[in-house]
Amino acid sequence: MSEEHLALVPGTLEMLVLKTLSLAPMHGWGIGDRIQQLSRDTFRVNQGTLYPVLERLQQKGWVTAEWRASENNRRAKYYLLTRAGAKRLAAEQRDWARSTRGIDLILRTEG
Amino acid sequence: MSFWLGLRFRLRTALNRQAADEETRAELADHIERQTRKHIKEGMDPATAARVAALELGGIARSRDDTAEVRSGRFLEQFAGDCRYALRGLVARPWFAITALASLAIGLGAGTAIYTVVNAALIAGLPYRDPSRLMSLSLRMPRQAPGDMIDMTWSYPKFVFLRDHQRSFASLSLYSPETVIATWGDGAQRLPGEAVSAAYFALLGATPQLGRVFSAEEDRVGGPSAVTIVSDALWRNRFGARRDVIGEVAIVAGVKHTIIGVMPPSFTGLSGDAQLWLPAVDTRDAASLTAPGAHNLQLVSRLAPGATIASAKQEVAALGVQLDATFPDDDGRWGAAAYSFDERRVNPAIRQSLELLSVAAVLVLLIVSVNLTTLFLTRSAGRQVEFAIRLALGAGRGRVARQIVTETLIVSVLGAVIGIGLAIAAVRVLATTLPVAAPVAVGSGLDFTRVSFAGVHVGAATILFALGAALVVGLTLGGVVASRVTGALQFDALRQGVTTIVARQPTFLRGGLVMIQVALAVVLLVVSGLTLASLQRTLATPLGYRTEGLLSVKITLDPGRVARDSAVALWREIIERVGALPGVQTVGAGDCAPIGDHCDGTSITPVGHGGAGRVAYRRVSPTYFRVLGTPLIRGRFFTEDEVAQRRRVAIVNRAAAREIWGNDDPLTTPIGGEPSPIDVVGIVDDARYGDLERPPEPAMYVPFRGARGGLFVRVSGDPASFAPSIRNAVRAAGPGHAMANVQIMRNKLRDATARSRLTAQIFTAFAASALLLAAIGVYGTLALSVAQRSREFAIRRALGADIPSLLGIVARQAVRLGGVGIVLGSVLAFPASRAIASVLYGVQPLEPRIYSQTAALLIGALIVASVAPVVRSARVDPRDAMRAE
Repeated sequence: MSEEHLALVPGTLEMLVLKTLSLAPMHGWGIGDRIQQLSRDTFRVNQGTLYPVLERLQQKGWVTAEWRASENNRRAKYYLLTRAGAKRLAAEQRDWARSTRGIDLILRTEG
Repeated sequence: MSFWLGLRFRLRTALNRQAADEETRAELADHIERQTRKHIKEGMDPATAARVAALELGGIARSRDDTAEVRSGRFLEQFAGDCRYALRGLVARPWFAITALASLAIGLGAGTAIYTVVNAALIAGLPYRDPSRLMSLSLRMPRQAPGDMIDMTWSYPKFVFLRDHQRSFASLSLYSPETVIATWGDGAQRLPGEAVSAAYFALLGATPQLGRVFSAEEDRVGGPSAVTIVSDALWRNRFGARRDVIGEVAIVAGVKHTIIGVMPPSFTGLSGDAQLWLPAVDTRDAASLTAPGAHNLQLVSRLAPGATIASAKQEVAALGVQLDATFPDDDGRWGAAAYSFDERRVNPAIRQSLELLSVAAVLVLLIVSVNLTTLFLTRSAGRQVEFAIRLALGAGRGRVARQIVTETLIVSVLGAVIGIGLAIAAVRVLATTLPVAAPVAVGSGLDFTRVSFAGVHVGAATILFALGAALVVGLTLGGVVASRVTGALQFDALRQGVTTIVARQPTFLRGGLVMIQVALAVVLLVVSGLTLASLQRTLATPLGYRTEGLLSVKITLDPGRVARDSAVALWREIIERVGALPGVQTVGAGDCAPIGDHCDGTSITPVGHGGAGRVAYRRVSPTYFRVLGTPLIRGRFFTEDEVAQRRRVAIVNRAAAREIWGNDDPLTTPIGGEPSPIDVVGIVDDARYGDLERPPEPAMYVPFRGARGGLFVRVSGDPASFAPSIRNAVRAAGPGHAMANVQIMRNKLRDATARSRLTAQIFTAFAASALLLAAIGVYGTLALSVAQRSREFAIRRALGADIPSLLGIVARQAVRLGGVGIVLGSVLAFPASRAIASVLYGVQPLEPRIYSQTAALLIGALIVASVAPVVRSARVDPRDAMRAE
């Protein structure tokens, strides 16, 4: 907690959750933790917003959930990426890449 | 695919809510545990770690709520929650709930009931096969004024002529509603029946459930016509629904009749209450069937394929001219006319009443809508702080709006359910009263009122419609209230406190609504006041004759004997025979029965006068006035000699004496005429014939010498029990005399006033509801206004103001609010009163007394409405009230 965490870029949580799940099925807490790790502590997920997002992703059919035994033999609810979710992730990544490229171009313009 | 996955997820969570909640709880618990462990690993003490973990999740409850919020099933769940919340709110404020529910119940109930009745009477199809092809035919009889014709029933010879010459109709049937005396083992019974032709049943599309209908042979004059068909009700009540009843003998009208058929329960004929049917030729004696002037049968028909209503009308009118040539009458030129059943469906008076009632129902509904809007706006204004807090705590705006709409929906649907219950009860009452209210059929007018109301009930479609209307009202109302609450208001409510916010609501809106309500109530009160005053006057004005113990029966004398003896002698014989019956006091004869008969008129000029005056022209026997109980004012009645010797004498009534003779004395100023003037020998009191709701007309009476007329009998005891003996006495005097039903004048009078009574009652009910609703509306507005000014009132009270003086302040405000409404309503009531002028008797549409009473009543109601809020505010300790802000 030495360094100030940044809030997530607005609107990216869904994409980041999908990305995390594309690596491996994961339970809710793990997803938040994983995002923090992968961003090397740049971002910290507001845990209160995580579960509603997971709920919404399930409604859209991009993610499904099942109860599995977790590492220390306890049961946890694991989320899995569906085929539609993978497609969605690919699309969002494309869009994200384009918009960051665009933003980069603007920011690098010399005055 | 993602769609199906998503749908499956939604369904699963929606269908198994509890399991889904359990799952979420377990998941969040798991999350907190993991987070706690992470914090402990980072060096926190376990207690802090757990607390921080929970805080990071935003509080378990909150997170769970948010998760559930996203969930598809949330709508239902929240809806259930909203319903519970709304119901709790209603129970907590019972007066609000009762007022809102009562308003809606009254408004929707009245609307539903009136719609049901109007639908039955005017819109729904008549219960006959293909009713649009059915027509009713009338003779047209000339009246005194040239070109003035009235509808008339048929005589058998004229019917035969029309039947044999027409091409427009596939079939024709005679029809006459009759009261039939059936004699069973346990005594005689009067039954509503119908005299009809063989074609009648097929024409209306009715087939017997047992046996057969009349044959052509039984329909023939002189045929084997002593047969009868019974209704399902009679079959069940009298014959125990035995299937072997066919062929049994019943004594009908004193003669053995063979039962040949039983009609199904759905069929009660054109009269709507027929219990048995007889061949028309069986109910009329030979004299009646051969006399072209014995008009006592109605005629109905079914159009032939290819014929239209218009073409049939044309043909019947043309045949009317031929009829007149074939059966000339010295009264003038007769004609014939055909009408569709729809034209004859409801008599005009009932139609008018129903239209008036529809308007009244719409007015009440309007008042209810206005009232509800006021009530809910007032209530929501009082709850703005509550809503503001909920918005501030993060409740979605849509969520708050939805909750408001849920509340208005619940109130409107509950109100509708109660209202529909009321409507069902009201329709039951109306269904029994309206057919009685159908005035005595005049001429050959069919009246389907009884048929239309036979099975009238609030139908499923009507109930659905009422519920639908309630939903629309609830949604609209909720929308209006919600948009006001969530739109204008912000967190201001929190800062400023309730009264400020409430004060910022446009008061002119609420004031305007109250004003409209009061105005509409004024309109309804004025209308009901007028109908009540009219009814009072109708009932209070002396008829000019006494109906108690009075019977009448129409007789057409035996034509053969009239030619031999004289009509005068035949009448005298009948009068003597009937007069000799035990219990009979006096007997007379005349050509025009009071109540419902159309009589002749003429113009007269007293000798030496310039202008002529119109009078009703009635022919009466010497005993007539004594039998009817019409008082003699001056002079004397006719003598038997004057009748027999065809003297030119007359009696006039007071109205004629006043309007035509003026300052001259009728007894000394005869009526001009050829070959000699007519002496007036007496003046009698005015009497109301025809329409009871019009003032008595000038009338002139001359000695009765005709072959057609009515026998009037005054008896002591129950008049109904005299009918058979009177009929027998007339038969004994001459079997060739044709008789119609014996009528009881008291019943005729009751039926003739039933419509006015019913109209007045319903209007009064509507007006009372309107008054109540307006008072409620005013009360709601005042209650709010007092709440707003509670601080001011507290200061006033601290300074020594007592309750009466506070009441004065509020009452003044109430009267100011209502005053404009009263003025506006009075202005609106002018055209409304004019519209009902035609159904009023003895009341001016713009009667100032009614208007001033209405205004006084409303001002009284306004003052009463201002008492409760003041008393309530006075119960609060002034110190509390001042600190409350």
